Amino acid sequence: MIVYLWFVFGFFIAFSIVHSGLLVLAAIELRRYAARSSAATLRRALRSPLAPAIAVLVPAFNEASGIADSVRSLLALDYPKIEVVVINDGSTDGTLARLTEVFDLRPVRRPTPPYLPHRPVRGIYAPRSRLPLLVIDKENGGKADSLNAGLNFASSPLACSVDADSILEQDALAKTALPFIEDPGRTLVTAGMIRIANGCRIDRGRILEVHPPSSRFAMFQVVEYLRAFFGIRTGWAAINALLIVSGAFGLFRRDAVIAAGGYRTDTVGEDFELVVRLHRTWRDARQPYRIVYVPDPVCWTEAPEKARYLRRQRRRWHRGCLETLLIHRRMLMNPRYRAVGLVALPAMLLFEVLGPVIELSGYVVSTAALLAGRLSMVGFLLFLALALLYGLLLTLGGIALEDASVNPRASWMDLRRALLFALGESLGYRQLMIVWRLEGVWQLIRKSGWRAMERKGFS
Amino acid sequence: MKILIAEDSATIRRLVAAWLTAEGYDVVEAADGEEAVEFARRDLPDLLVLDKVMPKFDGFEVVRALREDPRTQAMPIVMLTERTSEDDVLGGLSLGVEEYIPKPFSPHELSARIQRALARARP
Amino acid sequence: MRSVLAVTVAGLALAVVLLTTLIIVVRGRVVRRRRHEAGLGPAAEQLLAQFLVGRPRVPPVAGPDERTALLRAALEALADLRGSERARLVELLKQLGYARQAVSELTARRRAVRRQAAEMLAAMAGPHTVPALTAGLADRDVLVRMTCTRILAEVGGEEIVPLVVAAAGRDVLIAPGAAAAVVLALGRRWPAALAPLLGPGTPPELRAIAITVVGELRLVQHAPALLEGLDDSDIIAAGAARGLGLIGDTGAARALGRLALDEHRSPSARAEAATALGSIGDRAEIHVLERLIATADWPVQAAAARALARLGPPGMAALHRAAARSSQPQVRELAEAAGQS
Repeated sequence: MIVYLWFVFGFFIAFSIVHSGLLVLAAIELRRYAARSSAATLRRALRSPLAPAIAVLVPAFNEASGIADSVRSLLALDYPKIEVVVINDGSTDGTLARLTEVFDLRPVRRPTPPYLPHRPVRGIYAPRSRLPLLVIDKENGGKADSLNAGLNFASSPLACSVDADSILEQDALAKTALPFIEDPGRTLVTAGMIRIANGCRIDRGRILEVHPPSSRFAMFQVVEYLRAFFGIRTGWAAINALLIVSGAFGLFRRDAVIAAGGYRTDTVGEDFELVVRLHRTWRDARQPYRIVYVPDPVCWTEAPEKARYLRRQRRRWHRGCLETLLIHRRMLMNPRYRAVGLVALPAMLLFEVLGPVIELSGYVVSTAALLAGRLSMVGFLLFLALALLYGLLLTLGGIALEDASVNPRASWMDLRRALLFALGESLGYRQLMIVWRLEGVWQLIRKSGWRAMERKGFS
Repeated sequence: MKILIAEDSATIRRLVAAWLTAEGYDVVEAADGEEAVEFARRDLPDLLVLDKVMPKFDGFEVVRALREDPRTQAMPIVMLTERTSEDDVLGGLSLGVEEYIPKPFSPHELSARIQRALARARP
Repeated sequence: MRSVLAVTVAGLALAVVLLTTLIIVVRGRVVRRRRHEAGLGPAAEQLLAQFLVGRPRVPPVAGPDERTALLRAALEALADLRGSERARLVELLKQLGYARQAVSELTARRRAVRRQAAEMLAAMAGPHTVPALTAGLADRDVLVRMTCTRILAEVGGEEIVPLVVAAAGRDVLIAPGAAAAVVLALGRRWPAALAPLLGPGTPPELRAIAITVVGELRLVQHAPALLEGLDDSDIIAAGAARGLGLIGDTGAARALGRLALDEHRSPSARAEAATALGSIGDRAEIHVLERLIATADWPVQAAAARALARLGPPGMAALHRAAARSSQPQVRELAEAAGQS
């Protein structure tokens, strides 16, 4: 048992070392970003005729209540060339009717381009005025399926996938398009930072005032997001090994996504899987590329506040994570895939997938060792303290980097709350998330069986 | 005549306010979209100079909000817009913006357009 | 086990405490600085506003923080103003010594300072800054170099054009976006200077950028060079076709038709050629587009259908003929869609 505890100890140390490295990389990347992206640069890029057009793809399922505000705010984004493509994924609550009414839509004939497969299209609609809006009405097929339809019909070189209930900052497109303008040949994807909208004052589909959420679960997630975005993702992006581009917002080169085959509809982690596949496809073809992260808030999303929905979300994320790793398992520890194959994917497997198992088993085994007299009480407490501290360090790193970023929220109240919740996050919240994530793995195994997990391959 | 200037860049806002004050107008300043709507409803200015890109509500949303209210429905609006050629969006969302002035702009031209808009509003 | 754990826990705990202290200290500094800047802002803005409205005498600006606040406000104003007011503002900044400051900071040791100086010069550049900017072309940092290059293209005399062209060529691979901005600036001010960039002797990345700029700016005098580009690689040809379409060069219609029909070329190059034919409006090439609909793949078919729709009744007739003859349902759909708009 003690031997096993040494193993868990080693895991904690490895975690701390790797993530400290990520924090350092992230700090460097933040400074680089601040230097590259002054307001003047942004404005010049916006005013240039060379700015690429962007198609904003909005998959919508039963969003009748908020879709009009959402679309209006997207059309008003500060970017010279936008087209908004709403994909009505077989909604049953009158989403299409609402859109038709608000934007004065009429049916238009558009042949379905054959680039990507998806569920059949029932109709295409466009406004009578010259608003750059297109509404695709299709049979229900899920988010990935809807995005594929959107990619087919869009005509812009860049495509941005946005959740219907997300709120974008006015300059979201400008900031995330900048890497494409800097290097149009190599840039494939730009991810932006997502922030939690709970607690903010929202009206007419806009964020009016930023406030921390009152719900405890939501506040924990705020802290988690700080850690994930500032600490982890910025770091990976610094070595061109960014794997996760949030489903809530991502800007892609349309032809690149189509060339790679579009989104897969048989996995719940379709956004993660697409990015890994892009890495793979471009490395296989030995083409230079980059997948960039913009460490600047661009999108606001509602975080689940009820345990039930949070649990469902975590299970789904973890399942998606595992599914993608299985699909692309040939990339693991494969030197052909450089940083992604040698470092990022194994790190994801070890820390995100196996990590919860290891940590949980650590608690169990250490308790057993204590009860069996193999571990002293002091030893047991020290072990727990270690488990607490290794996660806390990373979270604090995320908070520290946020202060170093371009738009820090300089307020003492915010900081006090963030620090308190960072502490609390390690003292129970994270452990609860671990249990729920493992439930996701269990779901996956039960759903497809062991055999299916082996078969799920990528030729 | 009272003019409301809504612009988030403080320098431009002060500049336009000073400029218009020197021309004899009574100027109220708003720093974001929410203030723009609030002050427009409160002070009922004769004309609104509105930036397209502002925090909280953007220019178009302010126009929509004001058009929904019968008291501010007919208020002439001059919009400062960053974009160069987006007639489509402008056409679809404008709902009665009198004048569009692209940035970068000249304060002289702004003045002239304001005069025109005011003249049109008072038959 | 216990002792190792104790040491590790102690180490981590120390790291946590240090990090928390760091966070608090940094946050404190940021809050203080913000408050300070916010305090100085209004005075600077008011000063500028008064100056521009007509108060010619500007009180001397004392400390470095006040100067920074004034500069920040001025740069914001410069970005959104044009015309005589802007020129007066630039004069004011020169009088207050900011141009001199920027020129001297352009040779500072710290990269961040040089970059900021370059941006400042970009906002208030004039012929007097040319010597410093020319020196900046050789800077160690690519951002500084490219910013200087772009400003020179915008304000320099004709003699700096070769330097600008050379600088763009040197850095096009590491900073393609910045090089594009330089070529754009060059194309706006010295359109003739783009000629050497359009020939086959230029590195392909730079040539592609120049072709794109020529198209975007509709520089008719370079149409012959674009025409030559149609014979080059697929990427160059696609850009050239697009440019010819934007320019509307009827003389290129035959060559574009040949490119569109060439099955060895990439779909994107062929599609751009077809689209260009629609923009140019030469009805003599309708038969080319009709054939494309019958023989080519989707992207080219769709482009040809859209092009035919722009060529008036003869074009639509050809489209319907092709649709009637074709066995592919997508072609009929293309015809119906085109007919509608």
